[in-house]
Amino acid sequence: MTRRLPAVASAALMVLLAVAALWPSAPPPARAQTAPDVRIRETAATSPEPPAGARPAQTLVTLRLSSAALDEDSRALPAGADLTLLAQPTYVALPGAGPNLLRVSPAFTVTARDASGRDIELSPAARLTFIQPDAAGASVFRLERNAWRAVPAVKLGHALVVQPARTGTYALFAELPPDWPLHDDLLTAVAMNAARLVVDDLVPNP
Amino acid sequence: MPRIPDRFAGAAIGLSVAAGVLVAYMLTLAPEVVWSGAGIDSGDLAAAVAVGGVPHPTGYPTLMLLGLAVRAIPLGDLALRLNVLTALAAAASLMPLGLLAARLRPGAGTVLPVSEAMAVAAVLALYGLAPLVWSNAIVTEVYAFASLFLWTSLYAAARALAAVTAEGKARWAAAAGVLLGLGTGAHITVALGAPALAVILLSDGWRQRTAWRLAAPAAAGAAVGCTVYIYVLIAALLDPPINWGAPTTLERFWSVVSGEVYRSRLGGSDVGATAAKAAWLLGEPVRQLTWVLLPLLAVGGVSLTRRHPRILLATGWIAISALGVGTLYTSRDDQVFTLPMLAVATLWSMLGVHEVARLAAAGRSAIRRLVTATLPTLLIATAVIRGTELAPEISMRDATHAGAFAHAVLVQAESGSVLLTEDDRATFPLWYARYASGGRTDVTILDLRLWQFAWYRQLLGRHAGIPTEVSPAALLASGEWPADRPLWAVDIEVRGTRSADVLATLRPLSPP
Repeated sequence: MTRRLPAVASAALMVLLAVAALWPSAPPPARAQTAPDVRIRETAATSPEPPAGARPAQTLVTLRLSSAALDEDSRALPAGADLTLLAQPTYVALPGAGPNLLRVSPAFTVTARDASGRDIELSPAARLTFIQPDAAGASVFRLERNAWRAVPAVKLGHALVVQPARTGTYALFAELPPDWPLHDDLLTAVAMNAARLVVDDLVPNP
Repeated sequence: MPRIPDRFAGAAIGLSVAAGVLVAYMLTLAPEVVWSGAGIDSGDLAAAVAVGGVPHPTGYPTLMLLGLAVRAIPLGDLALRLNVLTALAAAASLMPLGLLAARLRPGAGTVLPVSEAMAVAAVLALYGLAPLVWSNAIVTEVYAFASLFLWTSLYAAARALAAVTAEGKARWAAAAGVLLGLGTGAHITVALGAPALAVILLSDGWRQRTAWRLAAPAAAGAAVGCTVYIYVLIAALLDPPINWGAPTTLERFWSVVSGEVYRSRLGGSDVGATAAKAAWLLGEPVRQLTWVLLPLLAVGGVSLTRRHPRILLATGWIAISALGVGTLYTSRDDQVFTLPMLAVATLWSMLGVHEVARLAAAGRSAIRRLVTATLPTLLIATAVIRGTELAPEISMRDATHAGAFAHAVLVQAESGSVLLTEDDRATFPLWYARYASGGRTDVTILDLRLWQFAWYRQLLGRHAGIPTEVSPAALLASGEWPADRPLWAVDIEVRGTRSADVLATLRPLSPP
């Protein structure tokens, strides 16, 4: 029996490893990062809130680049107001839809609500206008099911106009040379002339 | 049938496999620092090398010293050089496994048939090409170095055991200790190899009360090896801009080298979740090394039990302790702590091949021919298919996004900008771009998570000259933030596992 013990133990180990290898579910990946992720209350709010008070129609609003912020800004608008949103110069330069196709504008999430917080939708006449003077070969993309898809846009001078526009997340993409990311000048020029987004013809739901 | 002389058997297997997997590593090597896969810390480590600093706890002095040597080579980007260094260490870590298997094989002392050597080499290649090993070999990380030192130390211990003279035994025991000490400087978990060394070196002499003859040189060697941690102290005293924990006092030094800040990640899960995680990790050898090795692993275990029980105990301890650490520690890369378990499974499987070959050689010629032809073919085919399948998935050749992001941010940042970050993926590449690439000495990177530590605020106060009594957000809100230090927030959104799936945005912060 003693002579057979190693073989029995090895067989048991083999079965154990096989069963473990077939274990149905992996543990959820931990989110802990290298820098200790302890949020400090004092520094938690790194985005200063916008000035208080309702904005009149046609106000130029500095867009903060998150859907939550835009949503919050839209709540303060009177129903049916025209809204011009100016994107601050920003940087987003990551492959999104092809080897040399880079996002050069922030992702604008267009969510529209009236002053009372009700959903409103863009009328068929609504349009999104991207001003992109230096983004050669630029085109507008919309986020659909986690994939960026090009949407038809009319080129008017330095502007790209999408009409009709739907609510959703949009961004400007441009083709950059194959030697990206080493082509710093173009990347900088594109990024510093980021998109200008115009949302108008907001109409309330019936 | 061609045969390899015994004295060259381990080296031939180890070298040939190391060279082979090194080609795979180089073809899939990350070109710079990355923010995906196994290499999120690469920016921190490379930036620390660039400034001669102290990276995140435990300071990794062995990697830092090797990195400083690589930094002196004026050839290409520093991050790329460090990635190559990591790949070399990962490939080299296969050598001691090959040497150990050759020394422990049933027919040690006799020539090794080439077909048997090829089968063993294929097993070793499967380890080198295991996703966990491979992904940690192609970007600057510490685990390849830890593996190299741990297994070289165990090989030295095995040599001490086999040495004929007392001087030879003591020399190899001391070498084993030094390597183990250096290994703790690569990763602290290498210290778990100490009981394994003790089992190998001391079990004979314990009864005869002569254990000290090997214990003393091994302990002295380990103490010498651990002196590598002096680097942490010296580097901290020079006040580099990357100086985690600023370990300039004994208390802070111990806090850094013992990883105090991460201790809360040890344990804490409920029993059910812990058991489920242990069960999952226990399956890693099969998932990482393929099912083909499972029977060989079992046969190797039997072989070790009968021929080298103390090696069985030592390697068993290493596997179990690695499983324990992987189970109890919670971080995004806790799976990587099972790497020693994979190495043990590989060693046992290599011995399993030798055992099968021995049994076949003792059998009828038809069986011998069948085993001689089938086993190497099966294993080599598995390794080739495995490597080919995994290469596109693991490759980091195109992982240029972190570097591009950091570079472009620094190019565009206004003069005197302070970039607020709260994600490793933002902080570490920006540190590397700021401190290793140079050029934007006016820009400050401020990690909001590290802001909670006094040493970090003091460091920023000294190096960046920004107010550190109150947080930037509070100063901005009260209108007291200096106007000549524009504040930008770097947001990171992770949408997938690939390098291109990280969305980074930069947004200006302005006073209300």
